[in-house]
Amino acid sequence: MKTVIEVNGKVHELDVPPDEILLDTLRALGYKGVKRGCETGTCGTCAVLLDGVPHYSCMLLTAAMDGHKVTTIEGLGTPSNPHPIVQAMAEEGGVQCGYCTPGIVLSAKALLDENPHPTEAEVREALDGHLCRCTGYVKKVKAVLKAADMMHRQGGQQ
Amino acid sequence: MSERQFKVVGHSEVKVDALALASGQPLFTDDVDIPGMLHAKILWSPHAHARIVRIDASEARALPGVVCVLTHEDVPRVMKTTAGQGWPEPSPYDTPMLDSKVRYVGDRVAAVAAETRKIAEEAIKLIKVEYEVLPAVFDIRTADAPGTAVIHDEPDAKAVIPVPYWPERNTAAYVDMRIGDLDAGFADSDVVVEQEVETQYGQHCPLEPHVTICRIDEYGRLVIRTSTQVPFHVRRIVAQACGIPVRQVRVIKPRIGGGFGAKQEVLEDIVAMLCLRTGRPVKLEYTRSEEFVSTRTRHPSVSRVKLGFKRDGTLKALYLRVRTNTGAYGSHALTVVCNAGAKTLPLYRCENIGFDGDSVYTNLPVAGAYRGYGGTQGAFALEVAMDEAARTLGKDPVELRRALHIREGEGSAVFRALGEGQEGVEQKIGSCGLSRCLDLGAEAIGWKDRDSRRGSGRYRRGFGMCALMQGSSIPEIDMGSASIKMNDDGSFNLLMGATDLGTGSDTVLAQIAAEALGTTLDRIIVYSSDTDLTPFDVGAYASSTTYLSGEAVRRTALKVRDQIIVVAARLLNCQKEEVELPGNGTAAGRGKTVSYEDIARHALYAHDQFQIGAIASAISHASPPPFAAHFAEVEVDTFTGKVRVVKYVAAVDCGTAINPKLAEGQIEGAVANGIGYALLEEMVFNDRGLCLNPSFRHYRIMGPMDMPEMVTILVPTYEPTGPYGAKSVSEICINGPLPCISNAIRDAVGVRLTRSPFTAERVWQALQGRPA
Amino acid sequence: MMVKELHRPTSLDEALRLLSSEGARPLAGGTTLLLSLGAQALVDISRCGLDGIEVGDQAIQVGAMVTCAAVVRALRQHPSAFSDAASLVGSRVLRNHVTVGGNSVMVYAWSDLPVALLAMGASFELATLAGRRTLSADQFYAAHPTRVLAKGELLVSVSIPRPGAGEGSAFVKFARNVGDHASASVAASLAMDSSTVRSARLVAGGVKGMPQLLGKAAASLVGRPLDDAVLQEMAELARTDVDAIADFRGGKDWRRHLVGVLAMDAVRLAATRVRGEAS
Repeated sequence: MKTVIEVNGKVHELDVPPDEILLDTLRALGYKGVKRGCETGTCGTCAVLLDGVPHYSCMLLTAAMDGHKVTTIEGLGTPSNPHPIVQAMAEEGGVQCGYCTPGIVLSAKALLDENPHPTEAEVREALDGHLCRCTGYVKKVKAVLKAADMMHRQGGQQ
Repeated sequence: MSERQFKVVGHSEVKVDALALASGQPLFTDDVDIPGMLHAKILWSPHAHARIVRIDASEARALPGVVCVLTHEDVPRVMKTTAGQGWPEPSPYDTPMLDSKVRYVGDRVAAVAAETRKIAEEAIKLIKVEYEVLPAVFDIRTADAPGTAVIHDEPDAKAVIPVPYWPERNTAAYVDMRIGDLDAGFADSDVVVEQEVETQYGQHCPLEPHVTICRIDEYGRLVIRTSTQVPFHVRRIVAQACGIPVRQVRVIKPRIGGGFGAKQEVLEDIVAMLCLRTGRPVKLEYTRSEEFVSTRTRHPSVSRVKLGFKRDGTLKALYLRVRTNTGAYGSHALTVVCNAGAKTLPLYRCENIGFDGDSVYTNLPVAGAYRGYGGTQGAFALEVAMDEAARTLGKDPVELRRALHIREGEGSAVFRALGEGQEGVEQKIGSCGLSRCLDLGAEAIGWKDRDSRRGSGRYRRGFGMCALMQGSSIPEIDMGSASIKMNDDGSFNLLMGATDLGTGSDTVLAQIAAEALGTTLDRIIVYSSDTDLTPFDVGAYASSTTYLSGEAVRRTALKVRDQIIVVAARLLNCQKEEVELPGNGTAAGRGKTVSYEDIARHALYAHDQFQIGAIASAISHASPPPFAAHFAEVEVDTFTGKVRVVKYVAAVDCGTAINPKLAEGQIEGAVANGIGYALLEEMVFNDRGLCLNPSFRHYRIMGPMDMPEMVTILVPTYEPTGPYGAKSVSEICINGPLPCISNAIRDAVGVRLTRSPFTAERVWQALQGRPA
Repeated sequence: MMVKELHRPTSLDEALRLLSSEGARPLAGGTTLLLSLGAQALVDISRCGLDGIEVGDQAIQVGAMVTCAAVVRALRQHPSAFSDAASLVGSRVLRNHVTVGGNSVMVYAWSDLPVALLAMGASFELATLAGRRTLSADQFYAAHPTRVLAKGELLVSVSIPRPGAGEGSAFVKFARNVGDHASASVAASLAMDSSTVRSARLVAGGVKGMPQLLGKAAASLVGRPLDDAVLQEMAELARTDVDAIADFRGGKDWRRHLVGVLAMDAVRLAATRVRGEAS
């Protein structure tokens, strides 16, 4: 089925089986930062921003995504030019195995886009729907708060 | 204990892979696209216990797109263990690649490799199996009773080290130990406390499920790219299972998405065989439900502890009995049950100590290595009993621990008597900050004024604590090694077998290397866990990476340092003894300075050329325990029974924290996992052995909004046998939440929860006075 | 998971036409469908104008495609059992997927919205090619909605009555941790005459297949003030009246006890809204 989606600003004209999930499509297109963890909409490692809003890509049929915009972690900078949230995650010790991190960074971005000065409780709420087995979330939450601070100093969002 | 100052060690350097991981770089096993790759799927047993009378894969083989189907009739029968342990393994050889018998719902029946995942899934459904269903064994307490169905009745199951192994009684492991005179000790006691506890099936839940890609390279060698904690054991055991020489196998561990012990297991054999048979690359990726049921779990347990005290608080007798349920196969059975005693009993000074441990087979998912590794089960029993003892003796639980715990300079007969499967190793405690952990932890939770904070009415608060020890490596048995070479620009390649599962060991070990080499972290290029390129390491388990692999790295770096000094002396025109390495990648002598770049270029190109580099190994001769004191404040909703952890304090002595932030991360992650195990997590089975909740929807782990206020306190000591004074930190803290929370609930509402998880229903039932 | 066709209609009429063929099912949030798909044709109804929320004087009109997250955002100033339930469905990310339509129709023991909608007396607008009909909550939940809906019939919007003077509602849920399915839940809808109850509806969820009206418990409140003794009596009636199953989220006794506790909590919370206190 012909489907057009935009990923990180790049338009992809696709022809996909009607039951292909967006997770599989994105990984096949090379967006390996989108991970497979449960395929049941519970762990968040597959999370992307759909029109700026966090969604589980394992719970979306690609063919139904025609006309939508997707943001993956690859759309948020590079290791040499990292997004402040990515940088803060690294610096605060919020990255252990790293498998859950891209999804969490995206939800954090969605939060900070809407609420540039969140409280700790609001950060925790924004990470709800993401599971991490390595960190206990402690330093991940710290990292998002630090990123908010960094972005504030930089004078706005990226 | 004075804090030594190091240049790189002791600093919270950013993890060398952190930015790449956080940016979503394609670093994990499945993040490569290999042309011609086949997808593997496994047919799992629907029965808990059955013989395969007939298996017909013809329809599956005929399905277009199916390239290979393997049943037990198609593969060699090689009995092995899947346990990723050093050879000869202390786990029984009871697991062939595929068998004509199935022993749990989720056991392997057959394997398919096909062009797409969909076709593989279709093919699985076309395999026809006729089973003779056998009576199944599910109860840990009666699995060894006479007349019970024998799960391992095959004649070729065996133990390969001289340890008790009685499969005819469904007993996979047995160990006992006596020190002093237990009967006399109890007879001499004024107060005797007995406690029974029970722990449940839990799964590690690494966010990345097990995944393996095998391919045949251009030289005909089998290359296994896999999410593993034990690359060298994978190489050896896959070679054994497939009947090919070790030299034909290469194992590469990329970045992996967590392990926690689930990946200290060799499950790659079936993928390897599909690859060898087809000659094509093959990927096996477990789904989440398969990860729950068909990889590995924690050993459920029932334990009984008996403590005998004099009225003044002296411990006269200490007895621990632990039985674990190892599930359908005996991987890690002996070592986990031994550890239940080995990582708990030395904690308190006592002349009369007894331990009885065994592990039974059941027709349930296979238990294996899981962070804590018996220590979790044992500490629950011991620290709950200590709490009851404190109450009976009228002593503060903190003070009771403080009076009794082992001190620096002391030993325990348990160290020698109880190792991991075999006799252990005698040792004296070289560093112990437990007393300070007790002080700082008590202060952070507000222990002194807890009486005034319990509240009344519907919500009651309570406070509980526990003391813990673990170990650092398996002495005399495990080995790690590293090699280092110097490059033109003064940088170094650090190659080590040691396995980073997300813990940050690449970084920690690179910090040790940088410290010993006299350079900065950014000059160390780390490559680890590739059996062709990195020297041997047993892998990431037994809390050994920092302590043991770190020591190997330190020794290697010191050898290289000597060579640097030799060349520096030449360049500086002075004696070796006059050369100083200030730690910033330079060498100074006789008032002049040269850079490591100068030194490297000279050695590589100029004169008397040689590659500055070295290889070194380490084994340990002790397993110095880290120590910890944990404190929990809980709130119990007396109407519903729900327990909420309000605040959790972990004060931890891990010697020198090579990287404090990473050490804190280990503590925090372990505590989160432990709280989940204490309150939420339980794999539930129906009466036919089917797991009812193999998904995150129904098996709940801690989420970001569930976490309490977490206080992490590093209490530095200096372990003389550890690299730069380090001990381990990775496992110990997962053992705290079970006893801490049970103790806190007891404090809050006067009921003792002894069966985990402490669900709201169980708490409510206890409050009604009913048995849980 | 096998889907033979996927259609992306851009009007409700087109959607209804497609839904009238054999084996066609609507795709809203997809969270149920993607976990249990057979071979079928899916009709993606996200482009049919069903995603509006309108706060009217008497009622709030919510289109079937409105997500739980959108409900939470839109109704912050209008706390009720409905907005409570929407805020507790799944996790924060999942609430960007789960729709009011989907969660209202695909009822499971743990479903949250149906419990609240039944308590609040919502009404359900259904459409086929032939025309429209409106069902009350009692009618819609008289059986499992998939059996109440005619072939090819689509839920297009839900109408939630706004509380009048002296009215308020609340929904509370017990789950093992944040984001878990309910072990038990209760929605309470109250109408008060100053401090006595004029009418009440209590619905229990999470304990058995369909939401259960707690008739006796609700009746016990009528004409009485909401003091502790009244609430205890009500809770006991709720506990004895409700039917519960046992599964790994809990046994029968404890779940029925929970319903009693949650009934008290829900009534107390609803009462604060009647008084116009904090949400």
